[in-house]
Amino acid sequence: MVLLMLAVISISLFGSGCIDNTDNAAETPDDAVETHDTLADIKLQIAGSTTVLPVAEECARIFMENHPGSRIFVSGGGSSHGVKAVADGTVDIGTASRDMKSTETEAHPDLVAHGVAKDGVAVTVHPSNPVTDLTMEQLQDIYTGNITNWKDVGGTDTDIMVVTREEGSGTRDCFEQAVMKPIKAEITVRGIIQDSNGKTRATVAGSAQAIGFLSFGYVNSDVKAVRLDGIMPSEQSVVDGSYAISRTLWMITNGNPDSSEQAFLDFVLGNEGQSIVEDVHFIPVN
Amino acid sequence: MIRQTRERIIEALLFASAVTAVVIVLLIMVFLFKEGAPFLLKFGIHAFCLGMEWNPIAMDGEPSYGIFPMIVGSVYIAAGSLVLAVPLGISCAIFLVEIAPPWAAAIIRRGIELLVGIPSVVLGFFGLVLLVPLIRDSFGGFGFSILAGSIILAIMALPHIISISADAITAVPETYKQASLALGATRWHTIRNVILPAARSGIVAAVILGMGNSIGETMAVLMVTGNSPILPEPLYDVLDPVRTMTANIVIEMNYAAPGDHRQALFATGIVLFVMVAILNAISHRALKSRMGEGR
Repeated sequence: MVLLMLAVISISLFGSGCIDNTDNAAETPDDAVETHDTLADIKLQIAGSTTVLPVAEECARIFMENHPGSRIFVSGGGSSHGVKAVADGTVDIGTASRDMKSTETEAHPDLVAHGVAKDGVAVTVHPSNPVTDLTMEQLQDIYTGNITNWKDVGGTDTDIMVVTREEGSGTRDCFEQAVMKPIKAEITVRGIIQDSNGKTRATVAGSAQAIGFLSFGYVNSDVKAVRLDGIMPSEQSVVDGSYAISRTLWMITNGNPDSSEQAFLDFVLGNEGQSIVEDVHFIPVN
Repeated sequence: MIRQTRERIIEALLFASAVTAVVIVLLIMVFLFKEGAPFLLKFGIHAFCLGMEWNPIAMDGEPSYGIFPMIVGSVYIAAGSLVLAVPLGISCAIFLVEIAPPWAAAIIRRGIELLVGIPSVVLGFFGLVLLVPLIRDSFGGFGFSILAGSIILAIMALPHIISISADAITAVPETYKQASLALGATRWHTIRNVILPAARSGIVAAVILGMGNSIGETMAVLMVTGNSPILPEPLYDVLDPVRTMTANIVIEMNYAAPGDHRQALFATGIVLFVMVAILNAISHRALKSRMGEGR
């Protein structure tokens, strides 16, 4: 019993020592080795897209674990905020889930964008739906509300239940940029709106009439992904650019990255970082 | 001397705890209005509350912020839930207080308490996987509907309506009942013509409080109503999807960019806050008038 208590106490002491690594770095021999780590005094501020947030947060967490003493602060704010903040110098790395706009690259020609992940949005229907193939035009007509019956796109004679995401969602943004923007139209207001990939999938899986779009990582056997203009959504078709509804997630630096920014980017683009990218349902670029 | 100071300190502490709740409400109000009011004034209260179109991130052209369909949606779903829950709740309360033998009343009260304990998300999920397909298959439409939201909310409102109306019925003086029975009235006559009228204001308060709760409820509702920011068409079609004000805030707040979009959500909060405050004030009125009557 006493032994057990001692063990608990020593573990908790050890634990607290680990967290408080700034003070104890020189005291224990184990940590003394780490003080030679040139990455230990890195301090970085990252802000921007909420879509990139999980990647940046998780990478920052593991990076700080690997290099005790380093401090990386990650916050959201949106892609526009990310671009602006890095251009203004308020943060070291800005993140964006869309390509930089021409107005942004003109105003801040020094910005350098590094692609850290890819994301694709698959169009899914109920597994029992006979439709396996849609053209971009059909998809646009369905989402603008011009086509409201499955028989018009080669399916059975039932109403189409359009499932979409809330305004501001990164997945919706990706879909809108690729599908709705070319025809300058809004997604129909008659659609059912769900506020997560998970709920969208549950909705499509639960209704034979449904069509909905999902970030790639969420597609499973509950739903059926359809070909778009004959192209099956897959990591392959996103990476080679043939699948239309995809985007690159960016980390942006002001000028070429300095040594600490480079160290973090190397980490994100390295094996560990790219496996994190996969863990949070995006497609690795390397 | 020491006793007096101690007394003072304790009094001060008690006073501090008492004002804490008030201060918290005030702070929330200040924050809510600070965030949302500038937008409301800029965009126009009229245009915001009566605007028909909600499109904060426009693909082409100006964004629009109209929450009228959501005000209608909130009222619609809350009213629908009351239509379902009030008759059931009041009947249950009457049975509990006037008719049920003590052992049955105990069991029913336990069950009602359990109902209160079910987290709203669980009810919402139940609605999503069971109720929505059921409505779709039996009535048509997509299943995501005012009806689904109302049923889920009715289940949530039921315990509150039952317990407050049961209290109101219990508070009716025993002498009223005995006088009525002594005059030869039957039990049902007594309930309908003596007890219910005497408990009326308490029951009204229960209904209005239930309405306030229903309008403020979020998670369960947004899972089953489809959240389309449009008016049902035709207006009485309870199988159409709607979005409530609470759902509007919850589903868009995560990603709303700072600026107009986010402020518009806070402004939605202000409208909701004002509506619930008014309902609460009305129900307090009703409760108070009952107190007056009882004496």
